[in-house]
Amino acid sequence: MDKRSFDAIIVGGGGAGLMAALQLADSGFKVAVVSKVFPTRSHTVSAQGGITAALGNVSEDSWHWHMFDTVKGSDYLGDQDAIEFMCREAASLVYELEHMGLPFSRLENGKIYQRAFGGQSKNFGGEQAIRTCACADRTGHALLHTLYQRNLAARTQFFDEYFALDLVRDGEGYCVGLTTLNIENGEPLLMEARATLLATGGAGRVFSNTSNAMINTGDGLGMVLRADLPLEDMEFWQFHPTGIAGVGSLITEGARGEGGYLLNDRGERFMERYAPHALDLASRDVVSRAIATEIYEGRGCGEHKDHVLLKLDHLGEKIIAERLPGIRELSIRFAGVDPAQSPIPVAPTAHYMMGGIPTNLHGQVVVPARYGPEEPVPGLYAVGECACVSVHGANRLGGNSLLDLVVFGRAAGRHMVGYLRENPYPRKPGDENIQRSMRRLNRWEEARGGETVAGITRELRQLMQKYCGVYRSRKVLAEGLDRLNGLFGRMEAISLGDTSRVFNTARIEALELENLMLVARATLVSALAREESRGAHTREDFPARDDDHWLKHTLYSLEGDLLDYKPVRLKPLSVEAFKPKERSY
Amino acid sequence: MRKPITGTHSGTGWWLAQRVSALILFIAGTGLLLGFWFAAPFDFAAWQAAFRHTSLKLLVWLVVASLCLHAWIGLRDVLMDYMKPVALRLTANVLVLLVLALCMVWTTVIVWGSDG
Amino acid sequence: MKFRLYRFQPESNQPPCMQDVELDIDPAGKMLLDALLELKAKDDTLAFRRSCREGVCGSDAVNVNGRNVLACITPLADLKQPVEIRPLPGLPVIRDFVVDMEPFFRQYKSIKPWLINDDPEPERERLQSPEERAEIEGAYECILCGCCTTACPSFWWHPDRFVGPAGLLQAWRFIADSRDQATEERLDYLEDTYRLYRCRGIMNCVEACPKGLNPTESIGRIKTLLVRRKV
Repeated sequence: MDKRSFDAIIVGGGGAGLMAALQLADSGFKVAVVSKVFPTRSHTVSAQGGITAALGNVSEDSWHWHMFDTVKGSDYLGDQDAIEFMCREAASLVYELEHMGLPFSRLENGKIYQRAFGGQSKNFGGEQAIRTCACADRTGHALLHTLYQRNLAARTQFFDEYFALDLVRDGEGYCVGLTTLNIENGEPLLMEARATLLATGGAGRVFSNTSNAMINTGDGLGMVLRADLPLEDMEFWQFHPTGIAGVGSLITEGARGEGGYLLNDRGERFMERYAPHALDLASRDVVSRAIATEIYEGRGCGEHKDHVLLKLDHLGEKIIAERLPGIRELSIRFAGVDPAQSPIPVAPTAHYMMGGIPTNLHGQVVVPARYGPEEPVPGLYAVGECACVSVHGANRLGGNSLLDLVVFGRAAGRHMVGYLRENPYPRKPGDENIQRSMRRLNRWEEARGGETVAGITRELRQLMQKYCGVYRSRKVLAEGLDRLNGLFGRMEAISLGDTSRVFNTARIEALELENLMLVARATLVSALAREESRGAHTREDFPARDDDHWLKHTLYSLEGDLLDYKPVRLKPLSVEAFKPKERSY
Repeated sequence: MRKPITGTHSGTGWWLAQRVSALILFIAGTGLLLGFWFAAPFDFAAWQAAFRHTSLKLLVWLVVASLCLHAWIGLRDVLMDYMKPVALRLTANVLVLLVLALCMVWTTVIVWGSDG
Repeated sequence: MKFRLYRFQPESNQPPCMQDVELDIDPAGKMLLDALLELKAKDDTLAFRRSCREGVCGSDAVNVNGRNVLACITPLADLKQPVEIRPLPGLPVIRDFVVDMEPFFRQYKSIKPWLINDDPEPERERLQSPEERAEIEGAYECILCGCCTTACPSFWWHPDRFVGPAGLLQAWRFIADSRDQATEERLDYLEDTYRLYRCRGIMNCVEACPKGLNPTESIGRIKTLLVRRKV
């Protein structure tokens, strides 16, 4: 097998990966970004509303208030040290992005434009804050392109259209690189590095109704599980309240931030009943549950009463054209509705994975080992949606995702620089790892039974939607897990019609399905065990939050579906802790 | 792929010349046409008399010169696009230039040469 | 619905061919990408790129009935049958609808697509008025799908030397940005018979752009600056 060596390898070309790569390239290290798609096709590009930072350009603000909102939004499951770190760094990151060239929208005085988003408050739960920095409603696109451009300037090496297969570790557990597959010619390639960072993004494709791109198949999560490392808090999946009904594409929370609101079939602003104070700008889990309840109780709109309406036309043509041009385009194309004329049909859509690969605030992957629950795996890092720091806890606030990418992307990149200086010599990869990975790859060349990748993927996604949606219960989850086991059995009988080498996308989809199956398994097992309702995890049989038993992080390991738990880090870095309180908006 | 050879740091001049020559062709050409239309010198004497005016000589010469310049830039563009082998393109370029230069000389001879 | 698909599989040693297929699909409310996915579910050897499936990532540009489009935002119901799908023109085909985008990206990279500003960074953001910001509207939104550049005959003739509409649009994006200080350098680079002046303003790029952008106009603005600089 061919081999390439670098100082550091970044797996994933989205916002988090590119931010980390930039730190390394700017520090003079030889860094490679491995991505299964050309970097600007990464899912960061779809982020619309903005990036949250307490700049105070529009209204008085402070990072400490932002921290409170994030802790509260997380339903107190977020680690408060990481949250303090993120909120403190936020402003400097936004300025850095601006200096890099990100074309933020501007206020009259020339400063960065900010808009209201859900769950944001002044003064620790007071009136609505205006905190999310935006580039129209294409902030993710602007951010991703800017970071890609900076990496071009810094001469980062890109391995576009290389699919990451498995982590490679040495005998002492150091991560020394990974195996990849060159999609264009079908040849495997061993990539060695002293430090490897996973920035492979989310896995929203386990649900049939999702806002996620088709590439969000949890590849990094699969790699970690196969390397006998655990995943954290996989039961927490955010359902975004306003996906275009029947399609799943997102209508940004910024639409409500600009003054839009939700209506049921009676034309009632139903959020008044669920969140009397914050109304339509309550936290996403709250709004999604409200919509699901309205639909469940028969107050949905349309022929099938399966959605509600998002009204924007009262904002007027000008505001919509200036601030929300992208969602207008999406709405006209996918819902056949011009939001400047009539309301958009919306329903909750699977959007974001709060859980992921457990890391500390330097982006180091941390696992329970000999001496404690959070020991770093040397040479292995993770950032972005695939990681769980955990700043989002049980529910992420809008605008905190792009922030998470760049804050921890930068922190991890900087930490890697130090790590590379302290570990100047490469280690020998374990042959066993490589052979196991090649066996897994070659398995797809042999024809088996009559199952197809497309067929099983469809069933998996429908299963997760049905048995692991907004509302959950023991009975439903257990049935889902049972069916998932059935699907695992049928995986063995998949055969590919395409066994060629050049750009064999059938094989890539098969490898992606393997990862999705593991993500689904981690999710169902973790969700079944957590007998409480917290943030986005809502159990009908355990409707209340239970801090006495469940104020802790889940750790799921593949071997024997083992569950372990670790405490939430309730102590911030410098300020006083926010004690868990009842959460209302 | 062979290394692309480019970076002449020119282009705006030619582009501008193409536009300016087109403008001259349009204005002066229309002027000439209109002039001949309304005050066409029908016999040879009148024709000769008209061409004794230096202004008309200059105008005609300018129109032909603009036409040649315009044609040169246009043909060079076409050759650049479709004639890939450099030696062939250079030869074609030289031929086009020669023909156009001959046209210019001929025009000059016609306009000024008849005086003698 | 009837489809005619361009098929090419380099390992088969067969020349490219057109394949006629029929698909039982109700076009109402569906996009071309939905049809491609269903075709692939039936025959997994069909290769094409896709990612966001909502027209923002730029992966799934293909040539449909002679026009370059993004499959994910092209309504199926609007297409004349048989729907003839080919890879983007003017780029080497790797397989089926997958083209080698390298010449396209090389031109994009050639214009130094990053903000150049050598002043020390201020404590906070660099100020930019909404009017200054408005200058880059219509340029920064480009998704690098390649629809425009591969619709341009000048790029077909000179993929190695003509920057192409997408690259030139990005050049304009930085020239127009009030924060960028390298206008002179950028103009110097573009002052060339091939890199910029192969554009004849035929506006194929404008017609092809799935995001409704206007590269020809931006190229015109670059030319205006070049002329102003010259005279």
